[in-house]
Amino acid sequence: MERRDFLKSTLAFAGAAALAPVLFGGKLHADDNEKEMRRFQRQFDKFGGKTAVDGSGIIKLNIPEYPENGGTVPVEVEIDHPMEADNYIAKITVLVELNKGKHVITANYTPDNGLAYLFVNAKLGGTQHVVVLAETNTGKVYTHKKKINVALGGCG
Amino acid sequence: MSRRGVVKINDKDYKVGDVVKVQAVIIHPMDTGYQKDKHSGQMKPKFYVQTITAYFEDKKIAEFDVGVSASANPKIIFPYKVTGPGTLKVIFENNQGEKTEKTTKVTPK
Repeated sequence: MERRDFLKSTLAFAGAAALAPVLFGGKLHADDNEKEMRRFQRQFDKFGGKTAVDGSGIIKLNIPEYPENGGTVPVEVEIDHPMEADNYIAKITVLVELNKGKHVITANYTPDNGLAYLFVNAKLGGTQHVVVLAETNTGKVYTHKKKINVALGGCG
Repeated sequence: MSRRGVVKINDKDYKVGDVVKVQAVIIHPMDTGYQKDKHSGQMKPKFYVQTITAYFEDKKIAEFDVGVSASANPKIIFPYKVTGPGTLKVIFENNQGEKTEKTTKVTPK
């Protein structure tokens, strides 16, 4: 009888011990992501994300979905919008969600550019969304994002 | 110390009124300030390209605020509508105030 009790208790303990890291590890990870997302949201609001409308119709993101290396990910942004003297894209901002430094680049354009286009090499620490914000000179903000799967992360 | 970099126009044949794509690259590290040095174990301070400004004949065309999540040796391509022959100048400035200037000639056919 004693032996049976002993076995039961040890088995239960072993089971709990095996399960604990999975539970806590998963939870910790989620908290970490939430924290980063909150920081991202602050940056997003700073660059005019509060009044942003969905721009998936006019913003075209040309990024490889599975880049070889997270250290240099080519990000190409094309925006279907006129560049006239009183109606043009004044700002294109590229942000990443989970890197510690969220800001990749902000391009301040003038009508002299003639086209709303931007290419930049970004650095991605892991699988995450790349978010683009485009602001017109009248203050209207369009946003679009794309998920990029990074197997080998560049230092974030 | 002058840094290596290049500014060039990616299109071969262009006329006045065409939109060309201008490429600007600089050889420069992009230290985020969140990494440790492998040898000393100390945190590496932030050291990155902060602003890139493009001028055509002293008229500002575009200004880029670069963050730490841009890749090392940052490369950008931006559009420019050709208005006539002249010089295109791009100034890179890092967060320690060091400036690097690169130029290219605009010669429309």
